[in-house]
Amino acid sequence: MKTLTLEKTASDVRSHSVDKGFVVLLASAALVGMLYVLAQNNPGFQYLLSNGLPPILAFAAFAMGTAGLIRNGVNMENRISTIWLGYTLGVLLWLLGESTWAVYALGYSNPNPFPSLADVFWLAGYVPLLWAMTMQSWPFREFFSSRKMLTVMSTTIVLAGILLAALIPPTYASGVGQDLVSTVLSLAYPLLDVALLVVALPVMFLFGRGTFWRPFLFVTVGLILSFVADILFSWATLNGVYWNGGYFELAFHWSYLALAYGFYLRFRSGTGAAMLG
Amino acid sequence: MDEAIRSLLSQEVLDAFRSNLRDKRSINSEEIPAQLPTVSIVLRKYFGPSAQTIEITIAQRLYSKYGLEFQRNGDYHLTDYVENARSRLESRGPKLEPRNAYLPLKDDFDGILVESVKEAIEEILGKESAKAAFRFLERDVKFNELPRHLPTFYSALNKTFGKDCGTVELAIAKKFYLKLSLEFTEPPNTELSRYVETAFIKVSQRDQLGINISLEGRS
Repeated sequence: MKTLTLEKTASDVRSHSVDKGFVVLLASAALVGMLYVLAQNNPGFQYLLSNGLPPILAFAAFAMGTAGLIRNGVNMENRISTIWLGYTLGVLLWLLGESTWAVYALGYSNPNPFPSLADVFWLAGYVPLLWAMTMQSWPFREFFSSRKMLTVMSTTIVLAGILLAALIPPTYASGVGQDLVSTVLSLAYPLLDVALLVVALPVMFLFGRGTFWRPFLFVTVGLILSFVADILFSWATLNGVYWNGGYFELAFHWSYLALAYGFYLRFRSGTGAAMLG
Repeated sequence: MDEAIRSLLSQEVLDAFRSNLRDKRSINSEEIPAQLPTVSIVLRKYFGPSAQTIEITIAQRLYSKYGLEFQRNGDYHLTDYVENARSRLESRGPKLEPRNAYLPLKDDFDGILVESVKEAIEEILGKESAKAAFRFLERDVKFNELPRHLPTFYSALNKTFGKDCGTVELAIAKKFYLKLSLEFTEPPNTELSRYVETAFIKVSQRDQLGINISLEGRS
């Protein structure tokens, strides 16, 4: 085997300079964290933050996604274009879910609007997101049969099994006595979250490096953070330690910020190719 | 390489990758075979671990065109696959020729046509002005739909280039024929759709006759 080397070009050097968008991402994530710290002794502010911030962040992600679609156009015969359309549609549905929840929580002072129309939007959002991720990895499916990826996927499936075993029985038990819709919705979230994890983790390994995939990487990170947030939410709710404005919610907010940054990278890079560097 | 990236990702990704090679590494399409180690590194830089799949797809297509049996090797880079193919072909006979002609499928044919249109216009106008022309042309017909709407594209060319339309059409046709490894003997002042139709017939005839052609000269 030959050792391959390549001299750095001026553009390579430039591409390693600090990305302003990334600085904004980190600053926004830190700001959200600080707001949560400040809100801990103010229940009113906590409630407002917990219910008002998600639609704003989801809107930021959706706006960036839409800007990317407008700039690069939507072409159903172009795989990359349809993948981005799928991600943007998923985030739009989650934005509608967050907004509906906020209207119930802030407009009608209902702190726990479950089940509600918000759940319909949230659950529907998984469909285009999972579809887009599958579309993205499908041409590279042979890669998943490598030993390394089989290990990653087996670990993910075992992890998913443990999560389901830990979450489904208590979720079902807590739903007994409630109406059928509530029970079904309660079970749908962990199942769809696990489906998201099973697809997202291998995708992150495959597309974790390479400048072309950088926008997709942040979208995947956003979805994995959303998975983490959902699992924390389920665990905290089942154990009675969840409250509006708790630190558990930070994962939700950071997931939208990561999604917004991924969409921003796609918008900035122009063309359906998203070629950076 | 073109076919592999186009089939796995999209024409836009291919265009962007090629312009990256051209603008940042000074590697033109025809120089790619001589610059394979660099191309391999750039593929890995841009596509990360998924570059392995892209390289394997390129190698598979190359082997298939030369009638060689493809065997995957986890330690191989694109360069190694190409060297392996070359040595196997050299041991087979004196000439490095594909066993059968390059016979584009319908999808390849469309892709090559779009590629020829873009490259020819870029060569005539320069990259920046070409972008403006593309935007103008795409108001009438999107590039991916161009092969199925040639008469509409012809009117768009006419609107955009006026009396120079014929020169552009000729440049596109010549590029298209070169990419298909066809000798360009068509008369000038012919409509683009006619050039394309003739090329299609020639490629189909070549397919039926099983004539061996060299890939040399194809970009």
